[in-house]
Amino acid sequence: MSVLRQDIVAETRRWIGTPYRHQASLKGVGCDCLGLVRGIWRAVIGDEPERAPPYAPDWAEATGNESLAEAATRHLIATPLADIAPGDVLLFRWRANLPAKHAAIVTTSDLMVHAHDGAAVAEVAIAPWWRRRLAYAFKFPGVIR
Amino acid sequence: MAALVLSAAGAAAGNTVFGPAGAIAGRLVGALAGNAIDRALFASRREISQEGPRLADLEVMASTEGAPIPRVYGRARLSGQVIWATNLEELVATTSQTTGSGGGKGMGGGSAVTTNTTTYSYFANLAVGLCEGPIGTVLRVWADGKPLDLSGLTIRIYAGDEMQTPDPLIVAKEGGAPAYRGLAYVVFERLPLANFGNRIPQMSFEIVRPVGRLEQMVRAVTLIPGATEFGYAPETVVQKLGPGQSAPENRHITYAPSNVIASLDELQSVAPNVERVAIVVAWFGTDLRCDQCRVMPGVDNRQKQTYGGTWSAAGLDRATAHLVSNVNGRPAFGGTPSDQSVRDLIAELKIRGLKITLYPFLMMDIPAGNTLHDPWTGAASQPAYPWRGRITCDPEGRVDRPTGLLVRERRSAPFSVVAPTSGIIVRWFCTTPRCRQMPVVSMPF
Repeated sequence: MSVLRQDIVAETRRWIGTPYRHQASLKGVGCDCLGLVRGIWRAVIGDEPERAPPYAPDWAEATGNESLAEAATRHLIATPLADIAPGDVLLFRWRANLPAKHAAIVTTSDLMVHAHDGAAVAEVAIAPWWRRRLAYAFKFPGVIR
Repeated sequence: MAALVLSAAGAAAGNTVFGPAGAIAGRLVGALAGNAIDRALFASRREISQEGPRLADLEVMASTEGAPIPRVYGRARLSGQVIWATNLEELVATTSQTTGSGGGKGMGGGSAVTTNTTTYSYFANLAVGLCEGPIGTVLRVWADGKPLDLSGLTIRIYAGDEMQTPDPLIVAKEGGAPAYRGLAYVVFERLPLANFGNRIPQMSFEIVRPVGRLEQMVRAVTLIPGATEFGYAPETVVQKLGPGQSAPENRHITYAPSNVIASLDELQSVAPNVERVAIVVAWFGTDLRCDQCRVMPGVDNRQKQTYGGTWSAAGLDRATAHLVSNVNGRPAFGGTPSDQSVRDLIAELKIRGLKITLYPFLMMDIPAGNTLHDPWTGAASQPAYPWRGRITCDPEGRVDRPTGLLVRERRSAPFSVVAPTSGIIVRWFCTTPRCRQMPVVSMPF
């Protein structure tokens, strides 16, 4: 199955304005950062490959496991941070010694869409503040161009 | 019921005797007495609701329309204007506690009291416009006049250049936002207000805007102190003082995780063209006579317990390394930088795009009153803490004026950013022709 980057970006932008709801994943109603990625997977690829485990808002910090990055590695294709392109999934870590726990989807070379904690899904610049915290990049399977 | 009746009665009585203030006091006294009667009368299976202090108003402070934008030269402390804020975010937490149910502990039984405690905590999202950009950076921040610890806070500083992009929080809250190009501003995201009486504190900011030409010309710096056990560690290291007591080893500021990070932030904002940092790493020599001199990494304390980093250098630990001498009960030097702290600092400098020079350094730890023969004068005691250049291989140094030490570097593998491996071996030699074959020690990094 092939996926076009522009289809991912178009679907991603349809989520803008969705309020932030922890653990939710429903366009226009509520989602968190992982819910956004899950929703786009459902729209451009199909059924979700695994059920997300329960997690707390500060999840993974207690255990120190890279749960989010490990799940992404199971289903997405890791790409070098220098090669990110529209439609790619970015993972961020807030502090150097903590696991990555935030996700976003690239829409242009310097913009991304993410669910901002406490606010809503929004398209924002990938500013230096974000680039310093960028930990991983992945592309959806089947992306051809 | 009794609480209500007595509270009203108390208010009336208080008002009659002491006026309005008396009414309040009277109401309180009455309510307390009434509560006690209520408890006695209706002692079984009740529910008590307690509420913590709650704000009646979630509006934030005003900001002045049309206020001038200051222009800063050098370093200044400004309080700025609130240019954007959301209403305060309220977080409600309820805990429930049941006591006395089922007559446990032989207390009679039957009277279960459930106490529901609701607490409110508040968070502020706000942007504060500071001054005309571009500035170097914002260093210290004061909230209500006290230094604000920025660790754990989400704070984004915009230097006010013409390329800056809109803040993600403002975009997410408003659906779109200006980037405020040319304006230096700061965004606080979910600032907890509990320490400030549940209101936005009065804040002021230390702004650095380099305008001189000298700062622009700085290309390289040398980083000291070379004698500091954890002074180069980018993460916080604390010393354990006793049960529940600790003191920072390498963090004496509030706006960065460690002193060295604060220094580098300030360096790069003030002197943006710096390309290279030389890291001074000091080891200790024990004697002016080359054949007697031992060169070792040292610690300032054998017993010290630390969290966030454990001291180790060249395979020696705190128990086996050289212990530096004391002057008036205090260590004469700081210890040698822990190898791991040097490696972490090198990784940090690489991320910042800086080149690195390792600058090995020797300090002579020879205290006053030693019994070491002085090769220069023949005296029974060497001078206290002499210059390292006075090490000599000749017992009669006067005859053959010796020179100092030569440092040789050998680079066997390049540093990697993620995990800098042992790449440099430093050997100390005496440069006097007769004895230069003698390497004193190796410093592996």
